[in-house]
Amino acid sequence: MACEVQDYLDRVGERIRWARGRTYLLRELSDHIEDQRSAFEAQGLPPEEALRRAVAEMGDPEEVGDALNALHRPGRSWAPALCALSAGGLGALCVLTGLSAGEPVSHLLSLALGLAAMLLLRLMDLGRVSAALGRGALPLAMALALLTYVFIEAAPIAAGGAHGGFAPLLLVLSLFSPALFALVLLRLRGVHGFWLWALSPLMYLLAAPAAVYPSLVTALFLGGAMLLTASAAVCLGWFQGPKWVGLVSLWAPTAGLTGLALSLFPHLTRWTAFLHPQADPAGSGWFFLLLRRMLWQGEAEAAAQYLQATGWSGDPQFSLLTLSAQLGRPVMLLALGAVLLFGAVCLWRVRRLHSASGKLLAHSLFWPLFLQAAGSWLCNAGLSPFFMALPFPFFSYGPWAMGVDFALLGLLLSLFRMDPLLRDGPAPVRQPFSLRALLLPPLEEG
Amino acid sequence: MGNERNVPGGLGMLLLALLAGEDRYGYEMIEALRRRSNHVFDLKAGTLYPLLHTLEREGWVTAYDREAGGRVRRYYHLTEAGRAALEAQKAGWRNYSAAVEGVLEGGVPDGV
Repeated sequence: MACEVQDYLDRVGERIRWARGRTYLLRELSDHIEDQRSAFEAQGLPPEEALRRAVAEMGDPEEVGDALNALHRPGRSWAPALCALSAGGLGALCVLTGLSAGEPVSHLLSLALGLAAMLLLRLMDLGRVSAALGRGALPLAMALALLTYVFIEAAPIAAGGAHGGFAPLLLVLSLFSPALFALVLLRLRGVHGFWLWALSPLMYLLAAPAAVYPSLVTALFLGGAMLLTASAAVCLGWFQGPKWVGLVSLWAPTAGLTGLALSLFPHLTRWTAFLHPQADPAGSGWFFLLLRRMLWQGEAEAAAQYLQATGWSGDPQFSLLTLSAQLGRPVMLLALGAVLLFGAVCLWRVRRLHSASGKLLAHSLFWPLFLQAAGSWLCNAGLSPFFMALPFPFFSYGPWAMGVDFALLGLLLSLFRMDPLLRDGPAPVRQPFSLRALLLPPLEEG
Repeated sequence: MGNERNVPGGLGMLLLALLAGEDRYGYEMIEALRRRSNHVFDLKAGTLYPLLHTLEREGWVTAYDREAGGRVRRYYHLTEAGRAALEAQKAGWRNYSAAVEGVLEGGVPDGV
């Protein structure tokens, strides 16, 4: 008799084209048949008859399958277009910059591995991962942050003072910190927004390894991505209470620390060089002056000077600059257009996701990519006093960074793909927040 | 008969009404519908689940898995948007049924 149920489910399943969705849907139908069978048996029917009638009650399997297939399709995938754009963009880069014989191979290999990672991770079910991690998300996030710090400290120091060994890999792996942070946020649904200030230490802990290597700026970038992810969660109504309370509670510690830092260190050399490069044209202001002459004023002499500068023409951080020096200022404008277009399209697609948890996870994957792109562009355009160690995503050469960026994009695409199946469910019931109850002890009765 | 597409309410409204009081799973909803309608509405599972999933796409219900009686079942929960949609559909249905009632009570046969 069990084969009668399986036969029915198989006939329904044949009409549902999406394999991942089929699993969820058939499970629900199977549970229903079991409930109906139990009810018929409780009415006194023999088991075989109860099962036969339970299956008959389900309706025509082809019609059911067609109806479910019409409703359940994987979210639209951008993978083919992204693959083509990435391959084309990097291929053009290789040709136009005239890279040496060895570098195109490394470049193309990084591209191939990155695309493979993206296509593989696109098939992932982040909702299931989150559910499986459960309460383990917080200890996992803290353990990874501490391990990253330990490995960076243990990495050998090169002659120039930079960390070697696995430190660069650990740097780019820290791009996943906001996603880990989002998995923790998923466990905090329904908590009152007043308590969000307590997330600040976790954000600082996750961003702290990047402050050791490569710089405080990179740590600030990671912290910013986490802060924006948590802010998105507040705006999505993930927490209890007025949204303004949540946002103030979230931003207050960081705003306070930033104000304190600026008050203690008001005259940073880099700020002075950025704001007044002409004050030290041969020293710290030289680079900013060169960038502004090349990009803002379009001086060909400055472009030639940049290309001749020792050790910079092959620097992955500045490959946008290398192209701009060779082809002119439109390169920077095109890059800015690509960054803004990427941001606008991603945010529009994230907004269309059906579940708040899906949107929260999507923000945690989007902001590291967008801030990396925006920060890198601002550095290359001479509009930022601080340099990040992360290259322009999907474009500048940096094999590990490229792989991680494609992995983040793959996870983002997986959320779009699994959107029809991601569900929030009702919020957990938590004690209503009361400031009075928090501050005043309960009155004794009697 | 008039154009039935103009009739407000329908099975979707009934399912939303079933969820207004408590979260339910699929089989439970069919039984509740059958009981409350005195067996007038005898919904098959093949009709129920596509309808529930349509309501979910609209954002009017949300689903989650919960263990009950040693088994994990998929429960459906009425969202705030679903509650508002239910109230709007109930108002539409009451107006429609009042109009039908008015015609039936004071109705004039055709041709007279």
